Amino acid sequence: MTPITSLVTTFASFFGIYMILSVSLNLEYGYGGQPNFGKVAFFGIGAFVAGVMASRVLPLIAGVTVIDPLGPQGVEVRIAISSTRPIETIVTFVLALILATIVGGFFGYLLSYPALRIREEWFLAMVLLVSGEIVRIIVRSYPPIVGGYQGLAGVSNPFRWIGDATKASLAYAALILAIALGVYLLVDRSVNSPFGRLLKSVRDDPVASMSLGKNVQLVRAQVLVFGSGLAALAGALYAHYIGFITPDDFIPIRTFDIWVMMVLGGMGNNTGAVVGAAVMTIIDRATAMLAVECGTFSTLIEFNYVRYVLVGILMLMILMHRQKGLLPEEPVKTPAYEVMKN
Amino acid sequence: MWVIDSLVRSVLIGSLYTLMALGLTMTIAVVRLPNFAHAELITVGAYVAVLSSYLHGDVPLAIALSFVATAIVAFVCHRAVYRPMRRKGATMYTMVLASFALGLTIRYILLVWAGPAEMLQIKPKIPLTVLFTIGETPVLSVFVWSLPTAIVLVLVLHFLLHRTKTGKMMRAVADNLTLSLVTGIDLERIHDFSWIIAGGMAGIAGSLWAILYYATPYVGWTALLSVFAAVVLGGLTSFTGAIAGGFVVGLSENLLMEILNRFIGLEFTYKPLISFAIIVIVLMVRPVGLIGLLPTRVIRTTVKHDSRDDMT
Repeated sequence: MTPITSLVTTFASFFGIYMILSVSLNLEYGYGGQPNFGKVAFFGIGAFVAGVMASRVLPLIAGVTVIDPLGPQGVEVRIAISSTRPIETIVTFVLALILATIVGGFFGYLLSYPALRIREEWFLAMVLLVSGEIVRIIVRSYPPIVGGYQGLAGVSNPFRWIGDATKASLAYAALILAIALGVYLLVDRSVNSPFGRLLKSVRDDPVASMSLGKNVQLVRAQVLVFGSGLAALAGALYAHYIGFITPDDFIPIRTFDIWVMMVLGGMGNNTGAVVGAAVMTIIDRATAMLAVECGTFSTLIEFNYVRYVLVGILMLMILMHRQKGLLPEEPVKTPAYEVMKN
Repeated sequence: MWVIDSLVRSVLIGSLYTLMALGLTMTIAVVRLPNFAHAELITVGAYVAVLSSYLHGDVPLAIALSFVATAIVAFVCHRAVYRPMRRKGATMYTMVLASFALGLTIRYILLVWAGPAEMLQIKPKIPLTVLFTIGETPVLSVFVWSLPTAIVLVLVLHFLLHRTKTGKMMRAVADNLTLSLVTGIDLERIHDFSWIIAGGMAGIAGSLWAILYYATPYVGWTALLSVFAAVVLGGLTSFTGAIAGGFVVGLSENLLMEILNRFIGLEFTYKPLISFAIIVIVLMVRPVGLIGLLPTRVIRTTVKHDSRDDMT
């Protein structure tokens, strides 16, 4: 793989995954007003579901018996199946995406239980943050799920059977981008629909919407289920991209990254969320490249840490000087508004 | 005897959690900000203790220097970030996010510095002497510092809050912001003062932690959720509650964990779940925490938290 293609594929894949995350958080907080500080839990749940599918269901569908799905033999079997048998691989991959979305949505529903009952503003944020850590620690300490703290290797790119690594990763990057575009269109349609306007009304004044006969609790639960399902979808895509699942990848800082993307782009603006995701991907790739370039001097400065310093300062700057983000929220596009504008 | 071992550790860690929780309670009650950067104040305190031990290996010096340095850091954070944001009318969530961002920035700056300086995991150069042993646990001289320091600090804080004018003003601001503004309390001064005290206490806790264990850039972040558990358990705005919460969390993370491990076979990797469970259960079931379970004379100091009060 030439450096340029590899750069393009990593950039496209990360951008697509970040875009789904940022758009789904924007749906939850930007439009729905639900501060999901546990975003990483759903991202992680998606990845764990993908891991379970790849280690258990893939050999099952392919009709291969695996004695030790989490050990080295399991890795060999997975790689062998996905290199030679396209149909089984694709079927498992699609199933993993669907199942991840469903499981993510289910956990979102579970977490809407506290979300609907906690009154105090930031308690919910705290409970969600802690829930994310609870998920991580359970998966980390309980090996039968995805191998505990050692993680799970060999969750392969679903296009590995093409044979050529460059083509496979290009194809997968294109698929991720396509799915991300689909998610963007879906979310953008729904926030410009009556549901979207209901969301905004619940965010801005729950009492007023209640007085108009709207079921505020139901709307809040719906938006958490919707957003969490999308985050889990991103998690499954991420697992198949990275190929290695470790619970320690899903620490609270990832949630913070997603918040930075959304706040940077602009809360309540989907295009903004995409811009935020793009900026984050650029920062990510640039620091990663610098880290590789300066590898020999890595004892002097650790660029992975510099990345977080940059992101932290960026977030502080936005919050202090441009709270509405790069692209502020726009009025709802309804036919009536279009008429009034003209 | 493992029970005594575990009890000693519970009390030591509990006293450190108490110090950290008191500072956090102060920011939540008086400044109305659940400050996630509190973790990094603790870390800064730990590193100042390490650096001071290169000057002179002495526990009181380390504690004093940590107090001063961390108080300065907290004050600068307040003036540079929190106060300008609050003046622009930032909401609670944006403030929480900002504190998270600030903490993250400080933490990773420390990591960037500590790597090349070879200080990623380091103990202060303070000579250790064994004073006596309880059971089979040797009690080191530095251990003796942590509990009395915690007790003295709690007493000083109590005196400050109840016997001095500034302290009374702080409690008034925590209790009812609007009313205290009407009586002409200088809010800016109270906020400055609260940040200095909260930061200083976090710094002392951090330095004691470094002396007992070691300093890493993650010290504060690892402790933070346990400290939040202590604060939540104490009812968020009650200083008495924070003390009780600190010791309860210390006990449950050590003694209770040890008991669960011995009798149910729960592995130690699940230890953080205890404080997480405390946070989730208390916030959902009983958001006022331990308040109400304590005798009424004790809760005279407690205040009711009302987020709908304007945040100035």
